[in-house]
Amino acid sequence: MGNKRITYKAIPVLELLKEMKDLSGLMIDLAYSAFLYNNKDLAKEVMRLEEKVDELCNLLLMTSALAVRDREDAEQMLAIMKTAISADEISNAAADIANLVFLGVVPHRAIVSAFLRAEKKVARIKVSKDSVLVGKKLGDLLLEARVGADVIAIRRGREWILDPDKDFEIRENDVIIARGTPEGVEELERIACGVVPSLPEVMKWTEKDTGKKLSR
Amino acid sequence: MDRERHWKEVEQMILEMKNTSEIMVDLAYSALIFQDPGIAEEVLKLEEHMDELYTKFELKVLEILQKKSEEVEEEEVLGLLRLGVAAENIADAASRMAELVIGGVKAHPVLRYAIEETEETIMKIEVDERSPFAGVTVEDAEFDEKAGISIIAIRRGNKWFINPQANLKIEPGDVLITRGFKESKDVLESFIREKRSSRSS
Repeated sequence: MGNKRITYKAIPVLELLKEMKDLSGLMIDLAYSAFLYNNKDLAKEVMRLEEKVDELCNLLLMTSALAVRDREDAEQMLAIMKTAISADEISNAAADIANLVFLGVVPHRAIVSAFLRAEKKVARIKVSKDSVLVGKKLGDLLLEARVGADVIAIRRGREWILDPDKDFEIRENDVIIARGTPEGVEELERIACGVVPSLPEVMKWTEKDTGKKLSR
Repeated sequence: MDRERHWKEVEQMILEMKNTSEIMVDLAYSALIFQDPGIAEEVLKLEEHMDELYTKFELKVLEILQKKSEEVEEEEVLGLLRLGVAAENIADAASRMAELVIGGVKAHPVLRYAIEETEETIMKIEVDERSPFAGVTVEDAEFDEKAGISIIAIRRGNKWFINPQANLKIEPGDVLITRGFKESKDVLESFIREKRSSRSS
């Protein structure tokens, strides 16, 4: 909560609700990954998202309150407000998982192996100014095909872009949330910090990978 | 050996709790957006399943703690418990959304606009003897392009199969929870009708 002031902005309720839904969903993915890999950076992103969802929830409740003119409105608005509160609770649960990283609580290795078998790795990757990614459009990068990792979200300062489309251009200092095979994510990390100066060929699909993809 | 088995079980439980809670969230939003009490009821049934899972999980963790050897650290057990609590909380939040649909709280018209933006929908398919899905494996049911479905869970009485295995055979009486495109709902319904009539003749 902190002492940040909450200022009302006129944003359509539906937009707020949709963003809360999407962000809280993303938080769950990130939180499990942060805990499993004991990754403080990723856990911090979850905390940032948590603040954002809190803020959206407050805005939504204020907007809903302003939109109510009569009893019927109030009844109809109830479902929206309660849904927003549920999304907020989901984001709180995700934050609780991420917070384990800061509490020094470690996952048992049996759990780590179970999750690693079941899930793809999610990581937070900062784009340095030397990276080949800077100035490129996501659609042109073909990251999934080249490195086996995909961009699921991007944070630019305080702004979050979920499921960025193919015309999205990567800039210096963007924080990429990537999901993919552990090797793929590591490769993308090296590309983003500029250690690997160029993108690998698209030919990188192995039979195993395509098989996995089809079976999903 | 014995300890290995314990951890395997805990492993399975925690994965199942995670998957169950996530499916509940998907189902709850879908129930809310499409104002579908049938799906909402399944969320509440999943919540019961989740409660059972969670109790079993707690008992298992306690059992592990009792037989505690130098190999288990308190922090690791705490991590387990907290993961369980988080999945439980997520499941609770989903149930509260589902309750709104069952409780007949009329959704504000803005929710209807969300339908236009949602491409995917969750459907509940009840399987009887004449259903094209009866006696078919999950894999084959999903493979049929005309049906165009992806099965995310199967309920058999009180038993749940979350993300069911490809070779699981669908039985009459099963309830399939499927994910598909909004448009495919009508296609699926006519597919089932067509197959039903050809089975009965």
